[in-house]
Amino acid sequence: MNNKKQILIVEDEPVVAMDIRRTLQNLGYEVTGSVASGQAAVQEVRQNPPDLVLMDIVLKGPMDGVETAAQIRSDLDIPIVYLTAHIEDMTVDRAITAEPFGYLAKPFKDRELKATIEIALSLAKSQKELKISKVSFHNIVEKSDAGIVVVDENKTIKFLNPMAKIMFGFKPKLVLGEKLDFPIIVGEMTDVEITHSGSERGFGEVHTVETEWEGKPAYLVSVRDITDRRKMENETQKHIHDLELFHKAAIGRELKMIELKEQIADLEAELVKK
Amino acid sequence: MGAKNTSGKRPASAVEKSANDTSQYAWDITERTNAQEAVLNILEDLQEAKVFLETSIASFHNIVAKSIDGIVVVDKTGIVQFTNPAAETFLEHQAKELAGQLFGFPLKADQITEIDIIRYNKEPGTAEMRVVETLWNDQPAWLALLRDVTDRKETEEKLKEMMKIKSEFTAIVSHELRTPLTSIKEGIALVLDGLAGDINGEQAELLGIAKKNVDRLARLINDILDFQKLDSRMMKFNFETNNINEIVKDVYKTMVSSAKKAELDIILELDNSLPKCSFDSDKITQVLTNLVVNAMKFTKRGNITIKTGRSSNSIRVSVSDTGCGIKKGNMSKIFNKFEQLDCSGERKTGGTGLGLAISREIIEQHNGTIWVESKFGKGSIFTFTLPVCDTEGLLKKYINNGIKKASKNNTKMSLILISFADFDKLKQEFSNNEINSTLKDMEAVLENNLHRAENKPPRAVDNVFKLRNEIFVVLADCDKENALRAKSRLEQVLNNYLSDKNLADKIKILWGCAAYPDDAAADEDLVRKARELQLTIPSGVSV
Repeated sequence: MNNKKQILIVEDEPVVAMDIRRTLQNLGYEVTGSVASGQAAVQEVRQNPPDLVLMDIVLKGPMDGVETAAQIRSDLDIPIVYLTAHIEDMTVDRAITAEPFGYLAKPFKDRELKATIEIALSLAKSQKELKISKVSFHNIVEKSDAGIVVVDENKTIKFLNPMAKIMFGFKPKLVLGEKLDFPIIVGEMTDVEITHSGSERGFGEVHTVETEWEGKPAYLVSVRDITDRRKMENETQKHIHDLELFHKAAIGRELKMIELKEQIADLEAELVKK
Repeated sequence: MGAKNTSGKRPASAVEKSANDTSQYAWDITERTNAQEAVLNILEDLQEAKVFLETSIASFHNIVAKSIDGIVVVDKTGIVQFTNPAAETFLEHQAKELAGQLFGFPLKADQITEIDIIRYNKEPGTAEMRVVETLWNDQPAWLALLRDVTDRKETEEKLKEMMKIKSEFTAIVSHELRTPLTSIKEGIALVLDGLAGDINGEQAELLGIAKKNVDRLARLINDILDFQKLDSRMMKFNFETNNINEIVKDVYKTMVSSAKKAELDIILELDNSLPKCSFDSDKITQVLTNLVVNAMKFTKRGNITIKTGRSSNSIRVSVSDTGCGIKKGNMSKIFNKFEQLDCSGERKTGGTGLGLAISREIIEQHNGTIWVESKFGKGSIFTFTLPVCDTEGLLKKYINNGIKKASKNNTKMSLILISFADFDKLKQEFSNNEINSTLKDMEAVLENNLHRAENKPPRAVDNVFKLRNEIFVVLADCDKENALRAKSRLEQVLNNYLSDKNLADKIKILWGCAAYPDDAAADEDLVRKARELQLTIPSGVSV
């Protein structure tokens, strides 16, 4: 198995490019290619994604290094280290928009190159791990069949998961940045009107706990659809009510029936006498 | 002191050196510093991004950790990768123990299963486990969401039990009442008929009262049974195209004598131009009877008016009385089950309190509405509506049903079409209203005569349709030969009608007849064919 880290060189001066390639190989890296323009770099990265891109800021052609870097970052999560001969070539503010992982001024020493590359790879690795971790938890929240709303201490909505958007689809003002329009009590269950199974109105059970959102105290409001349970509860209640009334009505009839039976018996007895 | 001097001197000498020696070197220093600054900037930025990501992860992790739904992530080999505290409680595990173990429950995307769970500070219960696909650490995985549904399950059980008790209870009570009632009824009948010996006038009178009471009880019990059927949506409806005025007249006939006894008049105000309507005549008779009986119950003097009329898309039947009326607060209650009121608004023991509840169910099953308007002390108006038929759609339905039936049973069906000859000339001579009412009368004449031979109930007029200036007669299960025979008979009837109205010399009727499958195979073709053949069938000739 090849454990060598793969590096793409983007450098428009062939001699410099050759030199960097040799240096990298000597340092134990594998060079996947060396291209001279932004377009070629974007294409090469797509076809043969390396572990890192060494990017000269000054490039001939319509795309400079910063633009190319930005394009590559939006395509794929590959770390980029800028190279330049003159610091003036680089507007730091602009360069940073492409989220670079390092910067090297030419000429540089071999160990400087190695250190910069290693730091960049390590930073990129930890960032990627964080991103994956974020996706893992974010997915759970997105796929939950509970409506999840996060509000700050002023009840301003900071987050809504897809189920919450469905449940409150009929409330046009229940969106990010607006205030939550129903009461919440921490640690207690409350009720709220929601959309049930797409269209009809239903009941949601609201459960509120304290949480932290983006480092600040916030409330986690989770809403569970309990429409079916409510319907059944109401129906049960109705049946109990009916049964009670029916019972009363039937008892009345029973007495009437006995009365009638007696009436008949009397008549029969009278007839028999004759 | 010395140290201060040294440290003060060093940078000065360095600056001096760079300034004096080479400008290249000075450049270098500046570049290095700038390069370091750039690197620092980059690192700072990366650090910021990292903090942002970490807070974001913490935010979502919090949601997951604090969820009252249990959350378990299982990789594709069935090993648990993550559990939240709720899931740990449900499955009676600590996260450390469960993570890395086989999950044990079979997992399939979008499946919902029920599992037994442990609950914090509560009895063990049931959770619904919903499985969806997710990504965990960049790998496809199962996400199992466990929701405690113990409460819902309990409610469900309670409801089931309640429904069972209710139906058993009703069945038992009905049985208990019905069985003795039958023997009472028979007993009375036997005695009244003199089978148990001769009876005198006084006895007959007493027995008559007993009989009346028994009959009323029988009605009450039937109400209860009906209600039970409605409640479980068991009541079968037999929808047919009918004329509501006929129903009103029937109810009038059965009620008029008891109304007279109570010194009440029943007044009919019937709209004779009402369109046809599809309903169950027995059920609507039941509703109307119920309304009239109620009106009589609460009216001491005056009259009861039954009125029919038309609203936009429905026909309207109302029963108004000059009785005691209903207090405002009770108006919403009266359609409820077991609700009984007397004139003072108190409960009364005369009936089951189901009549209006059943009426409402029946009307609602017809897609109609029923309501009450009342002024306390002045009287009440109960009104119900029934949706009007779309004659064209209905005709099409009947033809298609006839065709379907015929093709299934390998029989035939026929369509007779009746219209006026020289229609344009007629229009000059008669007004639209005159033509229309003549057609309507003809339709009624056809309806009344069509079924006589077949010995069907006279009201089941489900196969004569007046549509614009034509009348269609749909004869299911009837081949062309029989249809033409029927046509000759109907022609005789219609000619008699025209003669009676002194129209025989002015109006000439055209007859068309087409049969399935001989003449056409589809509804529209059958109508077209009947129109074509209209010109070829000579009048007055029986085939």
